Amino acid sequence: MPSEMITLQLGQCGNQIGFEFWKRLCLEHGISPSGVLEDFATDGPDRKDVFFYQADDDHYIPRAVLLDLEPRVIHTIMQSQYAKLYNPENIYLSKDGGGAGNNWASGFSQGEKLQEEIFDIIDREADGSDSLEGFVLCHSIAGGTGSGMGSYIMERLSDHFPKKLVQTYSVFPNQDEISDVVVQPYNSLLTLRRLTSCADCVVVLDNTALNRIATDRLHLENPSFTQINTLVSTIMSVSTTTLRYPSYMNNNLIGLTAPLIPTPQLHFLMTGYTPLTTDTDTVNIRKTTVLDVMRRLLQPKNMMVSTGPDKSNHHCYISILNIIQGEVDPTQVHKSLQRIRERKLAQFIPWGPASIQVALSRSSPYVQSSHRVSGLMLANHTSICSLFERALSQYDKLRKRGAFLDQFRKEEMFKDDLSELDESRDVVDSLVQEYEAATRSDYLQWQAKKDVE
Amino acid sequence: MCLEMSQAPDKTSNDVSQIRNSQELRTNLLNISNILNTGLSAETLDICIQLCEAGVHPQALANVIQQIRREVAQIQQSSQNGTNNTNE
Amino acid sequence: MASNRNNQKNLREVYDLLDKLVKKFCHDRHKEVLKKVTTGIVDSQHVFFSNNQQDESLILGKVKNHLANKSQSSVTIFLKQHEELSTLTDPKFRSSMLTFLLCLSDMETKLPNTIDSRESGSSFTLPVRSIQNSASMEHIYRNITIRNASMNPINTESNLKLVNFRRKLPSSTSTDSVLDGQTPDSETSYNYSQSEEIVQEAIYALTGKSGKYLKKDVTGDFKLDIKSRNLNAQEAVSLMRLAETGRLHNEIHKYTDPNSEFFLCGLFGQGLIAQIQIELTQFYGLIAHLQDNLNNQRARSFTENNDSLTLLKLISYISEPQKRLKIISELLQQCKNLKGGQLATTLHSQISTGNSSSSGIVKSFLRATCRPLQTMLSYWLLDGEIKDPHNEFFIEEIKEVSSDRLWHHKYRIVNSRVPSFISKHLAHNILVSGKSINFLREICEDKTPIKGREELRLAFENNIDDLFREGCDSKLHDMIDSVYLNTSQKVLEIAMGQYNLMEHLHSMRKYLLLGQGDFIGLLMENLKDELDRPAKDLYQHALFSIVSTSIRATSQFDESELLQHLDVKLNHPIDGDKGWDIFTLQYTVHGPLATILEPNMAKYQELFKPLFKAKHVEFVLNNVWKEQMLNSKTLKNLKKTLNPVTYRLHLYTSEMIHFVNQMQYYILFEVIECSWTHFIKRVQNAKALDDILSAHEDFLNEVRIGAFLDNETKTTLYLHLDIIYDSIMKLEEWQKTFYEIAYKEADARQKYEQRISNSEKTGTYGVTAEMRLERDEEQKIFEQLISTFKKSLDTHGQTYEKYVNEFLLKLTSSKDQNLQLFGTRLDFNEYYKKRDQRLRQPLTYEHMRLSGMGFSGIFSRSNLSNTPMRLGNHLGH
Repeated sequence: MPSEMITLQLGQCGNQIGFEFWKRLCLEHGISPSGVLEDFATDGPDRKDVFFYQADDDHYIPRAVLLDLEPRVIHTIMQSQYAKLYNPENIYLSKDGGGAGNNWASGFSQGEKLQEEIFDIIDREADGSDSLEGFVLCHSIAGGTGSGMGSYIMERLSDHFPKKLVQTYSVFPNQDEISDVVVQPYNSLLTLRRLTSCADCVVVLDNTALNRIATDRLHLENPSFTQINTLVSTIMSVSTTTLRYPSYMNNNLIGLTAPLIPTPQLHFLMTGYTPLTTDTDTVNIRKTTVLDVMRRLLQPKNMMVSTGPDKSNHHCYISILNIIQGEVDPTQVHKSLQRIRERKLAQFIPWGPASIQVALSRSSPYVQSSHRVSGLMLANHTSICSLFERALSQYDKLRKRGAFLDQFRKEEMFKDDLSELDESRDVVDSLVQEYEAATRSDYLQWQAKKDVE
Repeated sequence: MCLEMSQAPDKTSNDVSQIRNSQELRTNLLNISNILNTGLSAETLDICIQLCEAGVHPQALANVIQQIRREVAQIQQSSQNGTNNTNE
Repeated sequence: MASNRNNQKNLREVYDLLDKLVKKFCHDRHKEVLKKVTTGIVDSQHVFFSNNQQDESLILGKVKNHLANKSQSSVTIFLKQHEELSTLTDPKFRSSMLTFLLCLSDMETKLPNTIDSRESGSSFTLPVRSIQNSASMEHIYRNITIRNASMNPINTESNLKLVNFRRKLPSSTSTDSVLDGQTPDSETSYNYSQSEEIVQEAIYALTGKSGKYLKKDVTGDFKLDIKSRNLNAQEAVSLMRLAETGRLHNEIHKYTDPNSEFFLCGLFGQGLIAQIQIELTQFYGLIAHLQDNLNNQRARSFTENNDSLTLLKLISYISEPQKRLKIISELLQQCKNLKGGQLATTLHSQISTGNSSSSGIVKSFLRATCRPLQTMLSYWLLDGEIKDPHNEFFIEEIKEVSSDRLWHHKYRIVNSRVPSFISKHLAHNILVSGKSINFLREICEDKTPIKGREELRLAFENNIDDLFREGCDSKLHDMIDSVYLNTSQKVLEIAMGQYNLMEHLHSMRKYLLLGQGDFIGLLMENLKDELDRPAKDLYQHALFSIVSTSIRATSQFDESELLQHLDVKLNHPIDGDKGWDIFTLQYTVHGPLATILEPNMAKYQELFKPLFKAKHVEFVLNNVWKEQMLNSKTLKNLKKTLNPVTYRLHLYTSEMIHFVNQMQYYILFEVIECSWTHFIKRVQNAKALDDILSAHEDFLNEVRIGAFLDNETKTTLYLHLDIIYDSIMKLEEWQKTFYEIAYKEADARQKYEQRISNSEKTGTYGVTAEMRLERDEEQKIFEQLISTFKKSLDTHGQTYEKYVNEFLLKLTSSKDQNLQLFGTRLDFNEYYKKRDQRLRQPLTYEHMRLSGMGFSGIFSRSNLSNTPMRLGNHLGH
């Protein structure tokens, strides 16, 4: 089967969102929690084989590898009704089960230690697909396993599979609450370096924005992980919908990401979704048109990334892909685009052609949606760099004090010096610079100048 | 139904179609015969049609019918007379 | 003699029939009667078997007059019956039967001895009948004489007998009164007064016959003969006026004469002739009446008579009929040499031109003329048959067309034959109805008759007049509509149900119009190695197996079924073609659908090529992008040197990706998807197969226009797009060489480093100054190479951008608003507009002109520089 994707779920967070993702996919494809294809779903027009493989006629198994250094989340999964869904050989729990202690360095070095076992699993899974297109990595950048071991695996993946794309769903920490992970800024920065240089496409899932949306928009007093993760799984499932329900375009990962990512570094995508509701929300939004959906997707309040106010108002879109589902009149799409263009509702880069791509996607017939129309925006927007700037400044604060570095020095990598941290800072800073440069029309010259330096 | 009107020189096809439609034709001619008050029965008319088709001149045929009628009338008259004069 | 031999053959049959006949009248002594009858016949055998016939119209007139004396309603009934009879028999037989029946009319009760008195007694009250009969009988016998004389000149004996027979007949038959006529040329036998003679002459002239004073000249006009010198002026003038009627009669009569050049051909013509004859019959009736008056007058010639028939009276009697004949004659003049639909059209056009009385005549003529049309229509609409021996029907079957092309090519409307009162729409519905019946019968092998066929037939035949009415809301129109709907519905159901029309159209959209993106993506991937080869090295079957593999991999459930329809076709390669240039997918349908879809299959082929090309460009470009993404990771070490080039490369690539994506989006979504949505809506509302087919055709045409394949854009936008695509494809070659060189350098560096680190381990200093120099030199060469690559890339990028600018200019200056809008969307953020002066200009003549110039400029440029990206050789502009 063509264009298969292997999902790697790392750490607590990665496994949680992965779990929600698979739950969602099962629902959409009519696959029972134990992987059996439901009777009603036998002749669907969907492509299940991108994310699942068939063990036998009606048994579907996710192309997923579950990795963690501590057992809690994976145990929860294995005790859920979805326990039988996964290939047990693809579930890897480190034997000591002690976790990475929220330490990037620990996760990274454990990854190094366990690499053989882990890559055995990944290789086997890769061999099982006809023409693997790439990997999807689910993780958090702030913790230990998802960030540290995730970073290690990302580095290895590009060596090991130089022809495969690596896409990640990376959860960024919530800035609104004080984290109990004190080294979070270090973890984030170190992971960001790998996301910059080893991944081909990063879908940023910003916990800050997700929590704000849950409280402000969905009116949840204390949003639970599950509720947040429902949002995440929606984003993940919709962003893969053109792969799973192929029509005329964007039917593989390259086709999906190539138009969004102009240069290798500018590959951090933010998402927006409308309408935002939860199961309990009964309020139905009035008749929605394509224009409504596209206009709402351009509103910052619907973005799932907390970029903060753009004071100088200089940030702009590098590219946009709107995936729209539901009862939509196709002939309305280009009219809507025309309106958005006339009203200049979106600001685009000055250094190259850019526009809003629209993919009308089929949606699963088995999942009842309370909305006639819904839309997901995948956007490459320069303001994403504010997230990295924030990470940098938090890192700088911590680093200036030299705080909590002992934990890192314990690990091989930081034994001699902390140059890894400095280099990572450089990489992330250069990323910020590049995003800033991308807001200007001399982006190309800037790049050249920088190189001359 | 026969659409071929006088034009068609092909006589056989005309005949064939006439036979095909003879029932319709007979009814039709019988109607006309009744309108004209000819006193011909369906069977008689049938035979006359056949005679006509055999090429007998209509006028002559009409004469024949009248001759027959006359003869028959005479015969009937004489036989009536005969019954009256039982002694003959 | 042929006729005699024939008679001999028939004699036995006739005898048997007579035998039967006699038996019907009397059972006991029938032998006796039969003998008497046959004896009489043998005496007059030649007359008995005479082949002669009377003009039907004459007889018809007589019958009508005969009946008119009884009741008008019996005339109506008779005419109806006769009308029916006309469709059943030929006129010859008809006139025979009518003659026969007329002779027997009201005779059944008459006895021979009472006839004479009755006839004479009734001659006053029923003058017309007797006169007419006499006239007609006379006519018959005269004809017999003449014909026999001309046909059997040797058989003088039979002629003699015939004449004798004629003389004998009045006394020997009961219909004696019928036979005492006069011949116009028997002037010597009678001795009438001159005024009577002139009146007689005039009466003859009325039916177009020459006489003593009136002679026909070569043109058929009457002229007064020298003999008329002894006529006074008034008589002469009156005669001429009456002769005018005769001329009109002849004028009209010639249309019914098979030997005349005016003879109306075809079935429509026959219909018209029948009506002409009815008119003539009425006219003859009047003539007979006049003749009767004259005869009576002659019979009483010795007595004083104030009431004698004069020429002036004749003129007054004849004035109305003359008007009528004139109208008819003028009408017929329009009809000369016309047949079929044209005849009907001409008649129809005359309805509105004349006054009310003439329009009544025209209508009756039109009705008669269209009677065959009615029959033809009912055959066609109800059975799908064409009965049209004279090529008059406006629907034509093209015999040479085989049934596999039945739906679109076998039947067609011949516009010149469509009567004006049948609208285009109606004609179309009529065509489709019969076609559908044939389609069902021949292609779908469904022979069940259409619903309510009999009722339709009856209703149809009773409402024929509606055809000529203005507007199209009559009963007949409803009928035709309902036949149309019935048959169409059935065809539609069969095509949609049994033969899965929509599934096939869906499949064609998915596979030929690339609606199934994952399949095409995989197909590209799988075909790449094959199609990169020269076109002549390709094998159809090898490619087909790749197609099947790709189908199997992407299709969920209909693969085997699908593969029966999908095939690979290789176009004829031109020198230098790659596999990509000649590869096409083909979709074949069988049976009825092949018939239905046949004319549009070529359009799919035409569309496939540009769509496939665009997809190929997208495919290549995506891989170019992927290479860049992956190489940026693996060539990290050369980042410093490569960066100035790769950044350019990334940005050009993204520019191209943007373009190709928008193009793809435009064609696949805005054009195909939107047209398809529209198409599906029409399918849902379709009442007939043709609704779907025309929607389908519109869909394909919209797509053709959208894909720049219509005549207007094919030479501009389409070619231009091709240039852009080719330019994009060249980037792939460029990038390939570029990365090869980069990897070579990376390898060399790695080896060099390795050597150093190895030598460090062994403790010997492994790198000599020479080697270092060599490495430095290599690196220098590499750096130089990279800078030339940068130059060539810049040139390529600029050229590409120019092409895109030109293309945008063409779009924005297009007359088609959709294309203008597409142009603005293609430059959504006005990147090109800001960079190209011309794109900022409003739409002016100047603008158009510039765009035209730009286009020719592009052409020469692209011709000059097939390799704008090759090293060294660059274009300054």
